[in-house]
Amino acid sequence: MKLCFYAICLLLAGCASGPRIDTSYTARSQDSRAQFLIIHYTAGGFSGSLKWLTEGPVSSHYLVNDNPPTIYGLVDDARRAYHAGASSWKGNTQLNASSIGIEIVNPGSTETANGTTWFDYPQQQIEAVVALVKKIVWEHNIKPERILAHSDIAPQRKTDPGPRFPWKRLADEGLIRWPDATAAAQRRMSFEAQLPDVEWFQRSLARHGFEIALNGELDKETQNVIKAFQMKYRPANFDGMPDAETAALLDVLNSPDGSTK
Amino acid sequence: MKKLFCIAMFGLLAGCATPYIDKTYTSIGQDSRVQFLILHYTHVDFPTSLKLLTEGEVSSHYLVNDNPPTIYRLVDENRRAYHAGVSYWKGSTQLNASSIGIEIVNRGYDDTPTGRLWYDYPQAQIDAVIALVKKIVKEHQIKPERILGHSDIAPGRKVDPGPRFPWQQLADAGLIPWPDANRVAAKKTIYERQLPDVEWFQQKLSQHGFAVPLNGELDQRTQDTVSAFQMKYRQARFDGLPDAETAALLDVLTTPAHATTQK
Repeated sequence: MKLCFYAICLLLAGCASGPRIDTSYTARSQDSRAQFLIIHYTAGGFSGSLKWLTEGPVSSHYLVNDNPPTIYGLVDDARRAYHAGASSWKGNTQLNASSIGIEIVNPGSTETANGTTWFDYPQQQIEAVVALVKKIVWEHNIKPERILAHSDIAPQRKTDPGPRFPWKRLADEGLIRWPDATAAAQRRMSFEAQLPDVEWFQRSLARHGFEIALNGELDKETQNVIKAFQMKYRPANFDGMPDAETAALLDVLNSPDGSTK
Repeated sequence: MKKLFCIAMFGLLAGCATPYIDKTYTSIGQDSRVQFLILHYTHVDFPTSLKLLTEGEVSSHYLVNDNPPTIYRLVDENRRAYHAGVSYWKGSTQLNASSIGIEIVNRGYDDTPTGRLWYDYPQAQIDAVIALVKKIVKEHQIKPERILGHSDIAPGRKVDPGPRFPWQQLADAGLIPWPDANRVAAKKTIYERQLPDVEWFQQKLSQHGFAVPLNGELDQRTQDTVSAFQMKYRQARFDGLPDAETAALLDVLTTPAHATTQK
């Protein structure tokens, strides 16, 4: 009787394992499902962040502590984590399925009497992030222009990893593109003589990858996108207003030959 | 010597690129990267399909032959295959990264002097496809409304798996949503008296999941989308024109059953 039960179990297990599949052939055209790498800050301390990212409705593949700068792997690279939310880059939306998320322990910003104050990232934490980004890029062949900030893919909702994240360091490591300083200085002069209109900024930002309406108006949404761009490439001033330097940086980044990488 | 040095340096650099990762903790908020299952036909015979999908610029995770109905896996499910192309469903775009693709060997159609002739799918092949779909759905927890035709996610550009693909068999197997016949009949009578305008159709198609313009015009893109919907749920006629039955099917599919009973 018991034997019969086991026999039935085996039969059912056979069914559950599905149809026979022939694996004699392999397609040449294939790559990793991870196409993007998204960088975040936690806006909170380590223990709260760990609890939130492991037990809460959001998650990320990696969490990088500040002191010590330990890297925690919370979700396998092959699985989907919930870090990006509603998001868009160059026509790709809902980026959780196609990205790896890195959360970095950093308080983000705080409001003081003197305005918003942002927190620096300790050097050793950045070293850990750089090593981790290198490993992920190597394993999944992620393109430099697809290593992005949460604020790049959701500029209306998010500002992380914020203006203190050292993107230039990632560029120096050959991980992301960076506008060539000489080319940017040259273009800045011509843009100072004649600042392009708002629609030019919108078109250039859209071409760079942002989701943005092309309505020619300097509305709140457009300012948020300009701010997201400035936080990354011109962190000294990210007021969200169009200016000659921002125009030059955008223009150089959008020219195939204008960047260092 | 130089080569050896190079290899040694490479080893060192590769070592640097692998930092220590602590795996003590695991997030509960995670699932499969695979959120969609997309069905295609190959439009050509098996040897040509296999060659195109393994050596060409396109690929798919699975290829199901017609005779014998062998299932071939060409790309590991954890990897991205190139089967969907430019695509959209319910706000998600570029679905290659988030989907598994199944290519089914079927000639598609021939254009003849008497019109377009479509090719049937042999039952044994459909049985293989259903068994495969069941396995994938179970392993990746794919939702019924995310098992789609290539024509659903790229209407106008694609018509596969075409009007001969038996979607109702997938519904009977509990794999995809299917409009309740009684509710459709009741709605159809209402819509026969007063056909909704084009914008209503566009809004319902958009709510269902399609990328469709909301301009109130029966333009080519709108007709292609209506046709894609009809090829799946009303295969007897897929002319792309709004009619009472199509309206009823759309209405029932976009209105949950309990919402109707509450009325």
